[in-house]
Formats: sequence, structure tokens, C-alpha cells
Amino acid sequence: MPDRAQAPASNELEISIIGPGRGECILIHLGNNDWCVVDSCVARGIQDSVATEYLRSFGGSPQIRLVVASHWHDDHIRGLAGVLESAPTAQFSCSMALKEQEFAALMRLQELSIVDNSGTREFARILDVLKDRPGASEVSAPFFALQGRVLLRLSASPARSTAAAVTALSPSDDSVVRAMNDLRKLMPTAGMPQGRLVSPTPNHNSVVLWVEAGARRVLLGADLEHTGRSGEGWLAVISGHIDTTRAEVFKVPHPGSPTSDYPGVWSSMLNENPIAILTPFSGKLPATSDLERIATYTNNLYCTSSGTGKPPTRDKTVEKKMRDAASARRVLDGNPGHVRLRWPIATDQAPSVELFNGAYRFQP
Amino acid sequence: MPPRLRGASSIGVWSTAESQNTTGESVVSAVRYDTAPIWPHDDQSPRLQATALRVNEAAGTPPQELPVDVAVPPPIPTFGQKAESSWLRRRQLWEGTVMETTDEGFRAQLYDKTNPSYPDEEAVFDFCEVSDEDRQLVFPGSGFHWVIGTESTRGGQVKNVSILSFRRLPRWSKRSLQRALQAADPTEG
Amino acid sequence: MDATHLQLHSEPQYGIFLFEMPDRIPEISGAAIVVVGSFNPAIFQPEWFARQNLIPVPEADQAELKMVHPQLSHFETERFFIQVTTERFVAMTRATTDTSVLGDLVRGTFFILEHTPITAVGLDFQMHFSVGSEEAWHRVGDSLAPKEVWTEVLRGRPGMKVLQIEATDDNGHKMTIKVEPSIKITHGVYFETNEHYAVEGKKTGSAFLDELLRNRWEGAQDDATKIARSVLDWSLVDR
Repeated sequence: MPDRAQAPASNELEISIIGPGRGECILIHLGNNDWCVVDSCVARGIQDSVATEYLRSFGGSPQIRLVVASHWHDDHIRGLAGVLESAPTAQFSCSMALKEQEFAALMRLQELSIVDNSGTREFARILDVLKDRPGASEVSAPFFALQGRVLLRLSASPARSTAAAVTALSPSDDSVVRAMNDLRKLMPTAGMPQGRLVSPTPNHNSVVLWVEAGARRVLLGADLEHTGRSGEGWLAVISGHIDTTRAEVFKVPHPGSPTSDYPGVWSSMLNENPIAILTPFSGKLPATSDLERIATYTNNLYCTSSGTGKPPTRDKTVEKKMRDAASARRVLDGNPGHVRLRWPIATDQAPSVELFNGAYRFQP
Repeated sequence: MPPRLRGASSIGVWSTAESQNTTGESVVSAVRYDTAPIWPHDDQSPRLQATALRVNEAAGTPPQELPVDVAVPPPIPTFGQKAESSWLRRRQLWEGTVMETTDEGFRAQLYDKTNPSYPDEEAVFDFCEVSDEDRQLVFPGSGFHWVIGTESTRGGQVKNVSILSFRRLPRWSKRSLQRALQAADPTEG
Repeated sequence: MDATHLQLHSEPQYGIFLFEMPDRIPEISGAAIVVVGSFNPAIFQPEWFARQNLIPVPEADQAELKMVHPQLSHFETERFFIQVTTERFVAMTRATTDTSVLGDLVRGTFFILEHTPITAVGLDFQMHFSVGSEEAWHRVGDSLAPKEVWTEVLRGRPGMKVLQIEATDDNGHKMTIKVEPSIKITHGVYFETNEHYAVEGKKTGSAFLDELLRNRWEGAQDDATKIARSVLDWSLVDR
């Protein structure tokens, strides 16, 4: 029985994908106790991010070097400000599209709002954490991610036998411009009623990451979609990608939906038969047909959980009235499962796969 | 008997009112406040001075102005138990957010306020669940409360009800928008 | 039932019963928010609330004006009672109004009137619980107000009409609880709770109010219900 609270060895690369709480969280150990946290989710009834809870379970003091918000929706960043607070030297990175002052204004406006906007409040808290850091410069902006930009580089040293890096493969310039336009449209004008921020096109500017540790490569697909337009989505990622080494692990984008699937990713960026991991999303995705489609690319498909489950049953009168008034009910929050991969950075050994809390390997 | 006010009034302005004389005949048709309410230091109801225009149509005499002493309702309401015979017993409360609207209805996320440990859900509603006054409040991002309960009407009829009431919130002001832009400036301290 | 919210100094043996009791649901609930400060009552008219998008226009049109005056505004709508003096703003739900809508009305009001000086806020809840039988109903009164001393000095069967208890927590927040026989429900017990908060810290009064209602409005109602349930469960234990 694997011990979840056992920290990785100093020379091991770890990719941990935990979810769905509401959204998912990815932890990357780049060796030498250096960690990177991508997105965040919280388990039902728990305050802390699953990332904080997981790293705390090791009992040591892991060094978080980079925190990435792959996009700003609350189903991706719940608890992320807390992660950043616990990592005062970590770099915070988010899409270049969020560089616009209008976006920060949107966040601040939601802070003034009577509506409880957990996602935007979380993002505003992140900006406050950056601002309040001791020694923060006058301009305390995030480190914006743009296609090709290296977000974290760890050079080889006496303490670290192999170099490691995390590079953004998206958003592309086109996607940034498109996303900025979308964001500007979200800014209310005087006289408009208050409401939560609901973005119609969230996934064009999400941050896809390319992880390098020694000769190991991992592709984390965020929620990026394949739009069919050159200059954005997966077409832009492939056209701008220069690393000739292929990835052996792939975090499948946007819970395996057909809109995020582009076969070129499998044929040009990934090893044959790579380990693919996906996190279900709110009982809707992935459909069995999605899993079967992805399984045609690889025999090594893992899911963090079998889904978010059925709605709980309430009192009879309540159930009847609910059925009368509402249809197509589905649960959004799940109990997060966990797929963990660990393997030595400097050898050819294949990753060991450990499954926790309901994670499973898909058998077609 | 002090006049019973029918409409709003303020100092120096006539307002419709009526009162009864000792024989129970309704005689006063208008009242004008002459002073602001005077709050006594004891627990008595505050009072104000007013002038009533006395018209006795039956007698056909000219209108007559009469000083009156008006009892003002107590400034601090007594919460206590009220005599209203109708009631609502809430069994379930959801807080909802509209995510998407269509021609027929809307898709919303639901947060269970009665059982906070239950997971959030999503569901689809028809517009027929929304009152006419609230229809304009249904847009992506708008919030609502959804109550399922049992209601008793004044006539004593008891029935199970599902009530969707959209949140009525202030509109954004220029000042709020300005403040947000200012706070968003990364060079601001 | 969450034991941390019981706030009861009960004998240990009753604790077992507290955990085993099914949750009682109030048959009828009501709520009020009282804001103490400095107000201009003339502003608070139904049309103003409708213009600010805080109540629907038809509700404002049908409001019953009790009084609009420079020193006192008082009206009732289909869902609310509103009464404002120069020192006090009170908004209450009516019997068929769910308490969830009251918080938005008050938050919205002082979001707009953000410069209103506010010094204190009170959160009030009213609940009627049914205890099922006359015997149980008497037991509640006898447990909360034992009659031994009264039967010595009074003729007939003395009964509890009102019990008021007050406590101040470590943060200086005062809570008052009133228990009475319900006048609305047969064999019912009426509870009224009031949480009092003085505006403190550097925040403006309206920001304090908004934060309090954002963070405490639902919790205060939950706690009020839990306290009432616990008192009832405790007083109904067969001793």
C-alpha cells in the first residue's frame, strides 16, 4: 500500500494531479525539494488547498518555487492565495491576458460587490499577497505567462544534479489579444446591475506548461481548446514548440472534451503510449466516449476520480418540488482523487504510478 | 381621537386624514403637521402637534381648523410575536447563480444553504419559475435565492411552495467603477 | 448537531441526548436587522427602494405608508416592514417572507448610502417551534422557569410568560434571547434572539455593516436556530 504522506526522494521527479474538488490541482516536484503548484482546489468542507494539505503531510518544509494560475476561474484557483502566502519566495504566474489593468479593475470591482464572488476574490487576494510581500517593488505584478516564456529555471548545481525548467506554451499572442477583448467586455458600466463574473470564453488563454527535468518531459494541457484557427489554441502551441524531446506524461486538457482534442499533440509532442491523466469535471466530462477516444492514443490512461457522484437525496417534499422546478441536475464538487507519478530524473526508469482516493486506470 | 393618516405628509403640508368624533362620526378630512414629533423621556409614544381641517358635510358649516395632538407610531418596533396569520416554513434554501440563459430558461449553479456540507450542484430552470418582475434580473452572473417550503395563506390554506427570488442589488455607480480602476493601478501604493 | 455551537452549560448526562435528538425545524421564522446611527428618515420611502433596484416597482407601488416625515419613516410592503428614525433603521421580514432576502435589502441600502454614520448593528431572529403536546409544552416552561418557588406564593398554576437571558462573549458581542409561549402555534414555543455589534476598527460604518452581514448573517441565523433547538431539547429531557 503506497504511503501518500511519504515525500519524494531528492532525485525524483513527481507529478501529482489531484481533483476534482471544484477544479483540480497539479503539484510538480522538480527534485531537490523544489516544488511547483499549478492551480488549486479544495476538498468539500476543508479550508486549505489540497496542495497545502498534501505538502504539509510530508512533515518537512517543501520549497514552493512557482505558483501558476492556469486561468482565473474559481474552479481553478480556490485556495491558491493561501498556497502563495505559505510560499513567500515563490513566483506567481498567470496568463499575459490578465496583464490588462481592466482585469485587475474587474477583480477589484468584485471586491466592492455585494455578490460573493469566490473566484475573483481569490484572485484579488493573490494580488494583495504579492503587494504585501516584504520588499515588494513598487509595481508588484505577477510574472505573466506567454507562449515560449520560461517561468522557472533551476540550473544544475552541487545541490541539484540536473537542471529543470517550466515553460509556458500558451497563451499565444493571438489568444492574448482575443482574451483581452473578452475581458474588456466583462467590465460593467455605470447603471448595470451587480452580478458574479461569468466568462463565456474561458479557455483560449489558459496556460499550458512544458516541464523539463534532465531528459524528462511532461506536458500539462490546462484547459486549452482546439479551435481550428491558426495562431491560437493547440495549433499555436504546436507551431511554436521547439523542444525535440517528447513528453512521456500528458495531463489531458479540459477533462478530455472533444473541443480540446487535437491529434497533432499526440503525434508531435508526446512519446508513443504516454501516461495520460485526466480529472473529471462536474459529472459531465469526460463522457465514456471521450475516455474511449483518448484510449485510442494510449494504453496508459488514468483518471483521478470516477466523477463527482449523484446529488444527495433530501426530504421527499423538497425532492418533489426540486424535480418540478429544475431539470438536468448534476453535482459540481467531488471528493478529490489523486494520481501520483514518481521517477528518478537521471535514469531511464519508467514512472511509478500510485493511485489514491478513488483514482483509477481506465480499461476500455 | 387623533387622526388616522392616509398618506405621507411633512411639516406645513396638508395631507388627507380622518378621525372620529365622540359619537363615532367621521369628520376630519385633512391634517397638517405643525411640529416635528416630540419624543418623551419615558416609554410613552412620541407625539406631534398638528392642525386638522374639520369639515362636517352633514351640517354644511364652513371648514374649521382645529389643533390636534397626534400619536406617532413608536420609533422602535416591537419585534415580538405578530398577529399575522399567514406563514412560511422553509425546508430548503439554495443560493443560485445564473451561468447561461437560453430562450426557454437558464442554467444555474446552486449552493445548498440548508446543508452546507452537501456538494454544489448545477441545474436548468424554465422561465416559468421566475416572476414577471424578476425576469429582467435573469442574466449570466445574476444571483437568486430558491426556497422550498410550506406556506399558509391568510385564508388558512396550507401548500408546499417553490419560490425563486432573484437578488435585487444596487447598480454599479460611476464612483465604484472609478474606485476599482484606481485600486487596480499597480503603481498605486 | 454541532456541539461547539450549543452554548449550554448543561449537565454532562444531557449531552448524550443533545447529540441524539433529530433537528427541530422552526414552524415559522422571521428576521430583523437594526442599524443604529444617524439617518435622514425622509429618504426611506418605497419609491426610493424601487428606484435603487432594491424592491420591485409593484411592491413599492402597493406599499402601505404608515408615515413619512422628516423624523420618522414607516411603511410595510408585501415582504418587509421598514421603520427609520433619525437614530435607528429597522428592516424586518413579514411572516411569509424568507429571511434570506433581508440581508440583500439592508446591504444594498447602505452600499448606496455608504457615508451614513453607523455605530451599531443588531441581528434579530424570531422562531416558533412546535413541541407536539401540552405536556411537553408545560415541561419547557417548567424546565426553564422552575415553579417550586412560585407555587409557594401564588394560587393556581403559575406559568412562564417571558424569559429573557443575556450574555456577552469574549469579544464583547452581546446576545439576548427571549423565550415565550407561542401565540401562533398550538403547543408552540417562541424564541427571539438578538446579536448586538458595535462598529469597531478603522472601517467605515457601512463597510463594517457589509462585512458583518456578508460573514455573519447566515451564521447568526444558524446559531439562533441551534440555540433554540438545544434549549428545547434540554428542557424536554425527562428528569
